[in-house]
Amino acid sequence: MKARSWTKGGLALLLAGAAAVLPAQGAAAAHRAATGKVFVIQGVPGASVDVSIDGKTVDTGAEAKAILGPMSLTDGSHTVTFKSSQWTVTSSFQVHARSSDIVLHWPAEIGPKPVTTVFKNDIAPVSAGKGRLTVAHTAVVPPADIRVDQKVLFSNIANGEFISAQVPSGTYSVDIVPTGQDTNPLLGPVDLPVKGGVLTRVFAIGQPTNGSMDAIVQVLPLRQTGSKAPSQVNAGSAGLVAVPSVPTAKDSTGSFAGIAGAAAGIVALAGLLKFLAGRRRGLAG
Amino acid sequence: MPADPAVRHCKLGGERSTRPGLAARLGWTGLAAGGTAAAVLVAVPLAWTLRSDTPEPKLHASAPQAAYVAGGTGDGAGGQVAAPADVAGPAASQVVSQRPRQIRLPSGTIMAVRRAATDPGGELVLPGNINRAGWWDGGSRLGDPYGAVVIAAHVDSTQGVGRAAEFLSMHAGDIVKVRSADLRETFRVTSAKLVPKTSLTAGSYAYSGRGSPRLVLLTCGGTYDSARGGYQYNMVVVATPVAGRPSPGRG
Repeated sequence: MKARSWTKGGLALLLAGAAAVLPAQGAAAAHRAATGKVFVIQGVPGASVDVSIDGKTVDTGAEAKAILGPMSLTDGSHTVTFKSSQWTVTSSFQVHARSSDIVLHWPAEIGPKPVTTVFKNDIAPVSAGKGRLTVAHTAVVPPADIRVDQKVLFSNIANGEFISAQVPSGTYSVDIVPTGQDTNPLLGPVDLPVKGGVLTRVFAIGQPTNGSMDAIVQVLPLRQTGSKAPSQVNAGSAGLVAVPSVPTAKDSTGSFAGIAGAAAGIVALAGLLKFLAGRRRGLAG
Repeated sequence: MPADPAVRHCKLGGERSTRPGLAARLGWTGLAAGGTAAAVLVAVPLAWTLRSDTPEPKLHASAPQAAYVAGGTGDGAGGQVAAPADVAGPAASQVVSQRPRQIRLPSGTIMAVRRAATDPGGELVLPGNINRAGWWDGGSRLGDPYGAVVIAAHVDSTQGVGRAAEFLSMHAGDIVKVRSADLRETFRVTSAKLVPKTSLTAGSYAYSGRGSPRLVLLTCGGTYDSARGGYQYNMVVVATPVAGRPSPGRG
């Protein structure tokens, strides 16, 4: 229980209370209070932005595609401020002991100033040889499809939305097209490398009308889950469904009748065994 | 998760175990340095306020965080009210992939599917109950856009003939349905054949996470030689999705 107490807000509060009573143990107790890992991402092309969190400067003059952090922030409410020469955007956001990205970007239609969106990072483990690919729509475009090798992998993603999947490691040819269209990509095609064992986050930013469409790629490590591929599957031990012989591949191609015969035999045998199994069950019952 | 001999080797139990490590990494250094500041504020009975005094490389001071709580006016806010940032949600087309929990064979026979892991010797450890199947936990899940969802089951044992004996009589065109907790998907068999056990290696495409999404059913069959490990063949049934993606539906 103690080892997991940092995930429990209520318990953290309790620990803080204990800290008040026992200052000497305060630091130790607070170790277990929850924090979240926060990145701040500047997704507004052409802007130079001063970034602060809770009033403290994080960076000055951050250009588009800057990924700031990670910063560890305590669970609860915080405030981020983005200031350019033309606008100031201030937003509050909640931290919940996880990894998240705070992204400054334009909405689907350009307005007086950009908006802030929180994207939570899915850091659950992935299978060996796979990575998690998450694509977020933070550009001045209507809902879009994301295609891999000209085939729609993710469909109809609107500004402020994301989509995610586990994919095998490799380099993908990706483009973004208006939903349902297959010409005039808004972005790409670009070669997107996806490594195994990492979360690859792509943020589509900018606006096609002024040629500022771009992609921010963020990579976060993930743990691996699942076992390796088996070298053997021993899925039977009684010989109850054995056949006297199995035609080799060469035989099979040479003799269709042979395959059909063998298959029919197996079918018949399986049927018989099923019948017998059913009878056995009947007798047992 | 019911106790099942087949899940003993499962490595998934610690899915959330990354987080304590993460928290420790994030928290320890900061707190060690911030101990003094924390001691000043211990009377504030809120854990997060206490933690907010954790110095960060780029967040130098500690006091203004409390000021935000009080009035929401920060140095950088320019006196503006901080509206809550939107929290991004998944697109409606998002499919959250899940491990299979049940398969329905062409005859209508249902098999429960448990998680199955490969043991250190390279053998896939299947459920002992011959009416159950095992999903290889290193393979694709229902809803993954690529790769093989691998489900294997004992064809027989001292318990008798297993439901997977039906794999032996499957052929192209047969329909197999798979369910997870929240998804269901229909597959059509494209090939069904016995292959020598020695040729179904770990590097086989049958296990690959690459390529089009597919269902691979495995069991034993063919000739039986008790002196040489029993069945000499694996039955490999490959099926592909009838529709593009799984549809929502309680398993």
